[in-house]
Amino acid sequence: MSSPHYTPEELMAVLISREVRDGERVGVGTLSPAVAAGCILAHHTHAPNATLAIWRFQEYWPFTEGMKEMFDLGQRGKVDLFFLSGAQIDQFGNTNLVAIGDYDRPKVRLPGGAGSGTLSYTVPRIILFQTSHSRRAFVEKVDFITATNDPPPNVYRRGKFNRCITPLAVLNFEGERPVLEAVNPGVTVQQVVENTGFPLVIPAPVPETPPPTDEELCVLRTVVKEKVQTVYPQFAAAAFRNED
Amino acid sequence: MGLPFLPVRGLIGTDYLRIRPDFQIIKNPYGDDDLVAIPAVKPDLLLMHAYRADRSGNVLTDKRESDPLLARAAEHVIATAEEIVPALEPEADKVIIPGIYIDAVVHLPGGAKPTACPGYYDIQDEEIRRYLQAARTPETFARYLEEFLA
Repeated sequence: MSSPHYTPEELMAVLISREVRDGERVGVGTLSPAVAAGCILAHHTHAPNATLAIWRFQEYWPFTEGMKEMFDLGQRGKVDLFFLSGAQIDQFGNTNLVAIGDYDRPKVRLPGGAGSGTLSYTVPRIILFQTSHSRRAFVEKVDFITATNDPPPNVYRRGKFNRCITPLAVLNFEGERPVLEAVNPGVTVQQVVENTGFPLVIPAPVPETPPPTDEELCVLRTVVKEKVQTVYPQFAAAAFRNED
Repeated sequence: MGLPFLPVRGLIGTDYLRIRPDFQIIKNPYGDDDLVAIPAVKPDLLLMHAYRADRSGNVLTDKRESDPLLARAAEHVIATAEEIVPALEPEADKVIIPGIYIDAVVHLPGGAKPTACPGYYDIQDEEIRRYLQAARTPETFARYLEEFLA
């Protein structure tokens, strides 16, 4: 197997970008450089009429009063697409951004969920992402449910979480059991299974994600890189190959 | 807003309700769904750093920050600023917090260091790393604080 001509971060950004539909209002939270890159890529390719709200990006921040406005817009149901992650994601599609271990004596205290616990109910389409695909990241049961994929009845909820994008694969949490929806180029089903801490429903055959196109990589390494490095300079320096 | 709580959609089914018994599930009096009552956060004091402030106590901050909200929530507000000017003018991508919310303005250039103040100075990566190292134990942090304030 020859090594790919793109980095894992570039692949993630491309897969994220393909989720953005033209005309949508898209929210991106804190510490998500690959997601920010993906949304800006979409904006410069197939989704020029998307409205992006990307935390920390002056150019993509259509508000005047900080994060509260994004949360309020989301509570009103006017954010069409949001991206969520977790230090842990479990077989039910629940995410954890609060603590690893017991909450009162945590092994690791995480940044906290911010809008996870509210936006997940009122945004109609939520895409999960995980920048490292491992058994630490995909666990049987999260230590703390920050965002749930299965709230009790009698609660306003727009839908279940959609797919989860990782450097290895695309998982889907919409059904009863998590499904391996696709493997990324050059990745085997075996590799995904070995790095996932719960059983996956495996269709036969498992489709392969179409690899990044030359156009996607070119836009990513020029326009997108330039914008991302203003907010995430260390990520931009490591994530993007030079366009040659 | 001065209210004791606000109802929000969400959170039910997460562990937030387990660790926060003060978050209470209430019936929507105008609908059928359950909501969560979140008690108001009332800071005694907000310390914030602004780009500029003027003689009427108006302060100029960034549209990406939550300072306007915090200033309206806090009992008292002290704003430090890179510059003091006679009268603030509106600027693209920045917001003015009216002086009525501000108790005191302090001229403090460099007040955001070692983090960034866009247009004035960048984040000091090396200093942030030193802080993270020092913050690992109370002893090293106490020493760090002494040096930093010296």
